[in-house]
Amino acid sequence: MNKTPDRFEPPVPPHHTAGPGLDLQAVLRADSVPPPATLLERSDYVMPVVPIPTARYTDPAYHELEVKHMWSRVWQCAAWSFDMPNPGDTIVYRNVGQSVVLVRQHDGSIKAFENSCPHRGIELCASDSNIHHIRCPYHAFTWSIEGDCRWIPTEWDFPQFDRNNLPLRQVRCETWNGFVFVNFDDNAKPLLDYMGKMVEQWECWDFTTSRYRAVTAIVKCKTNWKSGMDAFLETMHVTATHPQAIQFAADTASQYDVWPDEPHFSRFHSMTGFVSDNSLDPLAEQDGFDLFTGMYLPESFGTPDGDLLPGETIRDGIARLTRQTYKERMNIDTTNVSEAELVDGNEYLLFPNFVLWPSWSNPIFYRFRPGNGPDESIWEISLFVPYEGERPPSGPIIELPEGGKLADLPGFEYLGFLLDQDVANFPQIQNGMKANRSGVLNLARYSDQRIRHYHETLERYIQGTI
Amino acid sequence: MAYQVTLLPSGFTFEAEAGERLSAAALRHGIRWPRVCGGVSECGVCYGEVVGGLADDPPAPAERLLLQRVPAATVMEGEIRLACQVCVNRDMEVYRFGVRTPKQAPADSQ
Repeated sequence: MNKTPDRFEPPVPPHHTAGPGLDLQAVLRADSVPPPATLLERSDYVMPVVPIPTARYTDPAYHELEVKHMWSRVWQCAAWSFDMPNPGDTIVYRNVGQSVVLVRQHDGSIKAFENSCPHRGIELCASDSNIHHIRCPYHAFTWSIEGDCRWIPTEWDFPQFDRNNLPLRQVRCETWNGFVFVNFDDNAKPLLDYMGKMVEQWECWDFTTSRYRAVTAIVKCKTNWKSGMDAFLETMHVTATHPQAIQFAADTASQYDVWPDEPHFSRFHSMTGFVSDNSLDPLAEQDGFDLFTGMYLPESFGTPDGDLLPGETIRDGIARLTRQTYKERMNIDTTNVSEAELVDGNEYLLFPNFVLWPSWSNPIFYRFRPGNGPDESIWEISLFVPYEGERPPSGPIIELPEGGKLADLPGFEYLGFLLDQDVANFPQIQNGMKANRSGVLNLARYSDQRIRHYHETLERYIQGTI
Repeated sequence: MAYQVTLLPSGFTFEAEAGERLSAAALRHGIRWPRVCGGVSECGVCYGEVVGGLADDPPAPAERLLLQRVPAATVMEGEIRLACQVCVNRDMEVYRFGVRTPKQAPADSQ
């Protein structure tokens, strides 16, 4: 019995030495439905190639620097405002030792309060709820939901407190696109200034009228929060980490945009519907399409729907089936949605950890927060699903048990499989970072530049130059 | 000695020599089986669900590790294996989307 496989060396595709062969902008311009103008922009700015110290991912001292100089001064996403629609609805947001309680006000606005009793310091609110007052669970100090003090127990015993002048301390809080952000720096510039170019780049997508939070998972990760971020900032990892996707993902032809003087924003655009340059065989279009239907829409495989029509490319076929599926399953008409939004992956990062995809095929939002020290992180990932008509209520928030799979959670389905593949890398990344005796990571000039971009911003916070 | 392999859901059948690797036999019969690494248990792309006829042939460590990462859900309560590694030692039934048999290949296929 011959147990030796028929080994041979795959040839090196030509673009591996010459750069991408597929022109993303040309594809987008040729698509049947034109994309928003912002997707037809490309930044020519490329970050300088500098090594990244591994200590930033592994050293508890660096974690402390991040806490002291960065997390204390940045806008961080604390909630999705539609999860707290009614007056008195509260959401508790905690990160690196900070705790705030967000409260929907009677006038419809949202306030964020320091979640700490001025008396003995206990957190005033332990979890998300709906309340009439903010009442301390320890000794019953009571405030209105607007933050005005209503009652002090044994008031005669607190000469230092004046009930008429003991408001809850507020934390800066602003809303964009339905997301609630907080900033622990009272002198921070407004959120929209902080976002910079991302505001105009995002203008064509309004999640407050088009998407609802269908399901959320909370995943405890055994890796630094930045490694978690890094796993999704480029598509170079597709060939090794998501091998099943390379016959319909243009993983080597993605566009990575960073702009000078835009420290908080970067994005990528990754195309679907082309056989990757990393694929061994020069596949027929139909083969790539079969891989897609086999994985995402198995009911179409081998049916007339699953055969490319004369003249159709894989990209055309995927767009056709995606439109058909949205119509059949959700009665949503996508006739006017561009292929670039419908089938591609487009990812927008707001420093430090807010990541939102306008993409219809990967409709995700997530944030990574540090755990206790540099070796742990908490990943919250939600599906923001398109809807028409009345907004459906937000779906469940599910904490993934240790060793659990996202693929097993209702709603995540195939996307869960993909994300599980990324999570599988995490512990090995953290171990490998520590095993790296050179002490540096050597990032790709173009594909990895968004990683260098946020590192540069992070360093500027730590050095105090931003 | 040759055995018969049946591909599902197409029902297409072909013969494999005893001990021959599944993908090698498939390629020999002009079947296009997705792969990237060329059959050396590195990419994981060639996975399939062996529904019947799996002989005593447990996966080697490299295949086992790779199978943990391939997002292949079993559809028919079979066992997910890599076609480049699993050997045909009995008549075998394999379930796998995205495998093009010569009969199915459209005229414009390469």
